[in-house]
Amino acid sequence: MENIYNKIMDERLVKTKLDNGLNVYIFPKKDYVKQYAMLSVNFGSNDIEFIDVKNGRKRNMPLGIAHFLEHQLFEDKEKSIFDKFADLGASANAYTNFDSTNYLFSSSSNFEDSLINLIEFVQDPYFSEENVKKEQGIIVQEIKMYQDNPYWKSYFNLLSALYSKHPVKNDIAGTEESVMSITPEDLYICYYNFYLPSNMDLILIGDLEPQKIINLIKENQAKKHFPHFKNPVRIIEEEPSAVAKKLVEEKMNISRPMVQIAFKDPVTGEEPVEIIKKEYIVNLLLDIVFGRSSKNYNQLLEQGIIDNSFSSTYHKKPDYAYVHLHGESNRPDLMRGKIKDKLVDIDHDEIRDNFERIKRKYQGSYIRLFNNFNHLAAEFINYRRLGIDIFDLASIIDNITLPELLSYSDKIFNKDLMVESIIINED
Amino acid sequence: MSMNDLEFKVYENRFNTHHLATDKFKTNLIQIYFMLPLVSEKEAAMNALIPYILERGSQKYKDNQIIKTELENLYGSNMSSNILKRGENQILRFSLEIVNEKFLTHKSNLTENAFELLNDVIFNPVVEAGKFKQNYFEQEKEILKQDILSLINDKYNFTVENCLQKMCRNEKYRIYKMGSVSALAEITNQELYNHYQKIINEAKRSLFLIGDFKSAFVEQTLTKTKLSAGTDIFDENTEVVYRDKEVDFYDQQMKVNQARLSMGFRTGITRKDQDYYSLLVFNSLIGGSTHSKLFREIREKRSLAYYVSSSIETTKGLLLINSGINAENQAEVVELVKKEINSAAEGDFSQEDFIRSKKSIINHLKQDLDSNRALSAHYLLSLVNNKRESIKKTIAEVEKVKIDDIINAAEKLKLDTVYLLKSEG
Repeated sequence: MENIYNKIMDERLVKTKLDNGLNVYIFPKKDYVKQYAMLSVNFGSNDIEFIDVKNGRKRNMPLGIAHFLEHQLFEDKEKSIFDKFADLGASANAYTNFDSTNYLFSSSSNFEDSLINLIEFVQDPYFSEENVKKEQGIIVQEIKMYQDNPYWKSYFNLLSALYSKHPVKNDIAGTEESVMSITPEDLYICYYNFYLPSNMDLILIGDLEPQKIINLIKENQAKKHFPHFKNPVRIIEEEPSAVAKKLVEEKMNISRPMVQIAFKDPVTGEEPVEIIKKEYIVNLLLDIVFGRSSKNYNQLLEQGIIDNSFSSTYHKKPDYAYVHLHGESNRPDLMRGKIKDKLVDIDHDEIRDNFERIKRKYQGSYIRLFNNFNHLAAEFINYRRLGIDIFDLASIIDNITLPELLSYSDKIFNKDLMVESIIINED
Repeated sequence: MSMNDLEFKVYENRFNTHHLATDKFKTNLIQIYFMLPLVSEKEAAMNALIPYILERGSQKYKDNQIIKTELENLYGSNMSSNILKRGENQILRFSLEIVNEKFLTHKSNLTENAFELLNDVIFNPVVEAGKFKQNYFEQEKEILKQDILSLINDKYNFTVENCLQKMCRNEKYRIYKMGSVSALAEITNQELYNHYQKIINEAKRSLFLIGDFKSAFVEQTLTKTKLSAGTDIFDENTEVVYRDKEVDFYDQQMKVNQARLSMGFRTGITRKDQDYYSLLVFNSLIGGSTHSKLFREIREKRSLAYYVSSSIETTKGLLLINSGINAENQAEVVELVKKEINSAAEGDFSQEDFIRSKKSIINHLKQDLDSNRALSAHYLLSLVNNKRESIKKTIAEVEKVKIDDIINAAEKLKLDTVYLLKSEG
């Protein structure tokens, strides 16, 4: 058991790895009433192709299977999982993203019983024809709901323009067709390949006694037998550096056009710390060039080309990365043109003049991370999977230098790797 | 009183300060509220437009770029405004959230400086020829227009809003919180500026402080605000309509993938009534949670929907049920909702469901104690309804709710309006 105390933030983190490979992380929070637990499985919507540990065969799963599996684990032979938590006064939930499936609950009492509930339901799969059929109806409604969300729709159109091979181009929930093709057998295959203790992390936050909680988890896990300890081997087809399409357009019932723009950033295989550092550097850069205090943002605002729906972010993962800008505009063509012009010709003086201030903003946002349990858990696991603890972010931000921003500013906005996704009004 | 009692204390000073002292959070939160009765679409649009213009620039911080630059200098302090609707009132909220200086290695007077900025933005706008700066007025009018129109992009809220507007078509509650596009078009800069003066001088107002504020700030800096004396933000305006009538059905056609259903009920129960606590538990039981009757019947048993939920408005006395479905299942879903509510009114629910619902409400209330925004939201609702109450007191009242109280609350529900957004053809 490792005990870390961060003096500046006055926060503690207790870490341990159980014999079966399960990582447990606890943030003890004195005086807090809320208790929060998240069991995060390293299995997301991107994991559709892998080598089956049982027979070495290549598996190709229907799109949306990780999300479907998340829904199905809430099924139990006798009693609703939701009701089991409700009996303890806790409320359970789950969500799936590109790279993980996360099961969680929040409570204000009965934490230990709720925690055992959480571990038990995730580690006790029960998939049947009948339940799969029932869930298909529910998930098709969920997909339809997202299909009517113009932001979501244009975001996935954008990703499909950026990527021709990488699975991040697919909607997390899959398609109506892929969901209807899922079988209990598919779910069991994914389950035994990915739902291993060594492929999971448990994050606990609240006014908790770490040693007592860890003993409880150890005792629970010792009773269980896991068939193997081999972590899954994912297959991700090589993604060309070029983009798949330059432009995707679609019509929907909306108030005015929605514009999304991305610049693909081909992967170069950096070390994890470098990935995080680069994510901060490019986001700082974007804030200087297109943030709320930037010359560009305020000029375009004055001209009525963009408004406060506009935002810009850089996303970086080990296997894909892109710059993402979006907003609504009645003059979409002008908006696209202006953004392109500004980004391919960035003024170095602007970066020099604003660098220290924007860095300060990020130092403030690091402190805020610790205000909200749900947010803290999600960010923690995101960085943990890259091999660093959240407290290390402070020094990563502090150590960012001006030359680093300047060097990326000339490389990252490559016109040839720019794609656009536009939603226009239905006539 | 200890530092972490998490109760608001009211100061007897010229404006109405509600202070919750705690060192639990990493940030300090300051909020200034103005409450305005819903009168007409035009006044609603004027009220909504004012924060948009104020945030564009003040006398000391001339434009948006300067304001945002200053906020970044203050370690990314967050200044925002919201337009809320509680009962038949609009509430303008200006919020400022500042990192607590004690977590910074470089010490500075963040709270004081940020509060000065907020004050300049609210009370010292850029004025030219006795009006707001003309281009700020015109640009922000266009942005507000787009924000009103953008409701259609969010099919869930579009459906909710349309259901409520149909249901309350003869009441002030029908007015959208941002007014309407046609009313907005009529507003002139001069009348808007005069209206702003009226708000600053006459509207009901309150100031909330949540966090670890130095006593020097509370005693000195705070009193330098230009916020003047006025009445606290109590609602005296809302007409609670409660009646028997034929149910109105509305269909709207649009090209959508999923049909959206909204069912509006009158409860006649507001935050002031003792029944409020019973209604909270009833809402959790019927559709406010994943153990609710509607979630079980409509989603888990019949896979008719991904979401089906209920929510309550407790200043006006409304309950709303929302779901996303296939249009051809509308009649079935409406019947199931009616059946579940009627059977709850007949006491047809288990002791377990009753206990789960109470526990769920209490669990959520307790968790609100850990969030500055949630503490503020809970207190605001109690203040608006002139029944100031700590979360601990609300929990104690929920504990007292009995099965018969739920049945009484369920019996009061009257279905008023059913609204369906569905695909053409």
